[in-house]
Amino acid sequence: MRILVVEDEQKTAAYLQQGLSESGYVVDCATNGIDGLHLAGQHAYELVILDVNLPGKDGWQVLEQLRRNGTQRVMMLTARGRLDDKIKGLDMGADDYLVKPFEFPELLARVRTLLRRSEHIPQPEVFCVSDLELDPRRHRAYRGTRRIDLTTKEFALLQVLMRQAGEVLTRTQIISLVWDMNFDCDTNVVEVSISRLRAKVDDQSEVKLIHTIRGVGYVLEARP
Amino acid sequence: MRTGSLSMRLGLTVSLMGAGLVLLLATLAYVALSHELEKLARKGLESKMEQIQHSLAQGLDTDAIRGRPHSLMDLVIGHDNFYLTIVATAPDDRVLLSVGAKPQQPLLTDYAHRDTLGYLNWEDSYGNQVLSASSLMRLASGERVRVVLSLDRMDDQALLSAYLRATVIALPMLLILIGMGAWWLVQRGLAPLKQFSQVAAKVTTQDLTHRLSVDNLPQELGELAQGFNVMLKRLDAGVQQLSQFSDDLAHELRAPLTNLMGKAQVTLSRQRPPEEYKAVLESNTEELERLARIVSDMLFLAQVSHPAARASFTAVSLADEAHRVMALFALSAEDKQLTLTLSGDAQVQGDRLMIQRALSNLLSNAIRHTPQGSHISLLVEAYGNHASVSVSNPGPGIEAQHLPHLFERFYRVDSSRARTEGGTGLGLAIVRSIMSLHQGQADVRSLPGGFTLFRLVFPL
Repeated sequence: MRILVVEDEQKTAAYLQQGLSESGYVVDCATNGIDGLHLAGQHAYELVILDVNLPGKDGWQVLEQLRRNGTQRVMMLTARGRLDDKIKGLDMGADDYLVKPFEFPELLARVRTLLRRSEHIPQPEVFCVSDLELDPRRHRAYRGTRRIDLTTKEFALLQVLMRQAGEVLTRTQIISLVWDMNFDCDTNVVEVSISRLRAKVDDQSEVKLIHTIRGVGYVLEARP
Repeated sequence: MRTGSLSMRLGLTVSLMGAGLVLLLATLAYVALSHELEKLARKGLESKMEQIQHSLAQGLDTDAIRGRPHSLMDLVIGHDNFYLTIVATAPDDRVLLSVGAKPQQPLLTDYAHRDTLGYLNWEDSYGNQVLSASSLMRLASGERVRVVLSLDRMDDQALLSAYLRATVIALPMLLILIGMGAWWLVQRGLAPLKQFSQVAAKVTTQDLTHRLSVDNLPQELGELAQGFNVMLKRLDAGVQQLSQFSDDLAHELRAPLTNLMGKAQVTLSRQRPPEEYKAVLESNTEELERLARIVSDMLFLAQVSHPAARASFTAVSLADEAHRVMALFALSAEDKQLTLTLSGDAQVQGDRLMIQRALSNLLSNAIRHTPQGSHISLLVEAYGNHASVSVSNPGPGIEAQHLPHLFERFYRVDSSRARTEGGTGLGLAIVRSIMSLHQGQADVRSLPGGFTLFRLVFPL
């Protein structure tokens, strides 16, 4: 899948390109609005990541033109977090709006959600990673044949991790998905929950599935 | 006139009002004067007529009258503005006597036969005002004659027109005087305003120390000056707070930036195994996270101070929100063997997310400072027109000197300790901003026995 990044700050553009490429996307970069529009006219991009502050044509103007003759999804990046800016962006037809500074895993998760929106992937009835199984309907989890006894929150946490197995989830994302708190709160609840979950899921097995990526977040995957 | 000079406008208004007043007074005086003169003239005529009557009754007959007797002549001659005519009534209107050259024609026909004294104002052929009195009088012989006595009122007329002339000449000058006086008075009265504009011109964000001197100001301007000074004082405090804030912010950012840069430079100064690079990146990411959090908190503070944030208010149950926040902190509390309890409920108008955030900041502080194995209680109360939610916990307590400053940005009771615990120093400032957005307030009390109580008060 092809993504266009329109961003005038070289370093931001570089790490976005690197991070997205390493996650399996084809990424092109433009450093100003006019080049961005030019590229968007030449290739069929599924997603345009668009900075608001651009030399030449600013992000709003680019967004307006993209909307006029394209169907690609657009994610706005901006250093302005004011609510009216956000509303303006969404009103003008942006599909998502991310405020700097953001965490890269969050950007990645949003990119995935945006691209998934077009191709509806049915959620499996039972999540499986290696020999770990989670059945949301019956509210049960197994590691091999061993039944794991989980509290409601632990179950929700495990479900979130398994649903996005292989993707790194940040602390903020986990708090938002599991505890439904959509702000940055000063608590070690994720650390404590993960360590409890790990004790129940991984401690008795050879293969560890829950991994901490220091400074980034947590991921559930079977590592060779 | 609407926007012109105030003194000019007042001057003109006062002159117009003065003009009206002077005109009215002059008219009144004119009317009174002419009335008084007329009265005097009539009185003079009346007394003369009485004397004539007396002389006639003393035994003059028509022939004697025709002979211009002294008794009559003395009455009239010597007063050059009196004219006397005596006319016989029968058998014809013969003129018996006529003293003075004035033709008195109208009197002879208009006042034909009357016993009582009658007056007539008329104008002779020269345009002079004349007042005439006429009456029938009985002679000693029994005959009746008509006596017409006229008074030429040239003098009165001259007096009146002199008065008029003087008024007409003096009036414009008076008006100019009044107008100039008013203008001058207003100019003088408004002179202190010059001081206002001088001070206003000097005030900048760099220098807010100028104040207006309130002495020697009239009361109205004194109040204005007081208000002006109070405003300057508030601005001064606000600007100082802002500059203090950017000072603190720079200081706050300097420490993590120094760490980041130093660590990166040390790492890059020689070749290292990949694991070491990884460790440095991990540690830097953690530091950067803290920086990002400070920036987000600052942005949040800026947003929350904006009144537009009030648009998203809905009915919020304080107990429900407290419950959700407690669920978030349940594990952290359990980790320290703390028990959390919640009692009471109240509905307030507010932003759910912000109320959650305020409660979360209070609760995370409480958990951090409560010794292991104790109890934190949340209490929601409604009383009168307020609702409050309070978080109280036992602990070392907070020294009284810190209490007034706890809600200030970047204020820390123990700066070295708090930073290592990962806070941004903005938590309680955010709580206070959220509460002022809700038109409520946040306060803290240190209770005896080492209890600390934070309270959020909402208006109902």
